[in-house]
Amino acid sequence: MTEATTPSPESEPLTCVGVDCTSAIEQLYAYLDGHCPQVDREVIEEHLDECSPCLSAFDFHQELQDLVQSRCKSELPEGLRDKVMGALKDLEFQHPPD
Amino acid sequence: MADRGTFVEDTEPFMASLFSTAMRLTSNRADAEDLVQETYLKAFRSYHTYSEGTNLRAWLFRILTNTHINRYRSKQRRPEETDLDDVEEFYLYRRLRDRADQGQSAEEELMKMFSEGEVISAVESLPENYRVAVLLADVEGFAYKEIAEILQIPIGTVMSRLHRGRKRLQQELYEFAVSRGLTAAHDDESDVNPADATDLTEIAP
Repeated sequence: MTEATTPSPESEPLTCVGVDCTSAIEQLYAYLDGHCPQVDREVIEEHLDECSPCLSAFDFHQELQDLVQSRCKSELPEGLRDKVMGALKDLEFQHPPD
Repeated sequence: MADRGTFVEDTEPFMASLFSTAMRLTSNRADAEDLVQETYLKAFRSYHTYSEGTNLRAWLFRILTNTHINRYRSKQRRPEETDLDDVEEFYLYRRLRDRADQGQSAEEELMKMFSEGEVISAVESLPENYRVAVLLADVEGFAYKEIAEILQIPIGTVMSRLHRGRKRLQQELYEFAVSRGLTAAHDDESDVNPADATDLTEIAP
């Protein structure tokens, strides 16, 4: 007799099982990246209005992109602008336009 | 054809974002400054080839990434193309939703959860070809088509690198969360079937 195995959390039946959910999640990054055609965006947005699990996933990934963006910005070091402009002047002096 | 006389005025607004990307590519302030300077000098020399009215920011990023590849790749002795082991879809979300189940919203917690150093370290740990794609999309907000032009690769390759790079980034961030005790490691990780992992309905709580 085969012993029944306990399903892992990933394989348990879930509330979010509709075709609309699969389609929305498949397009999650395309949507967030602005790569979805307008007609698809509208379908996704209608779905998100009524599906809180999918909305939660979309919100999470938007937050994650915002996090990466805000944390990866570096301030322009003091002096770099002048250094670059100085190098450009030297170059222009060496190679003036025709 | 662009006028050299307006080069500084035209390009200066992009210097800060070019520097940010240079920092994440080189992981070193002095190298990043040199990379930005070399980018500007190259751009100035070839400004007559730039078609006015086209995407100047993308043109400058193309010079920056090309310069980086040519100048630093051999120095850093990185392999030209590194592949990534496949990582489960939505790696971080699957694990942090437990935290949401405990009454804390993962979305709201993210900003507080990861420090600047951790996010930067996770991004910089990505192999270069994936890191560049993630930086151009997620930090600089370039469209897939623009990234394809900047990196001179097909749009499908852009999407593939972004997809895999983001999955790996989620895994790296999760490891920081575990190491700081912000969430418990999942013992059943090895039991997750990659095929099931792409069953997108599983992301629901």
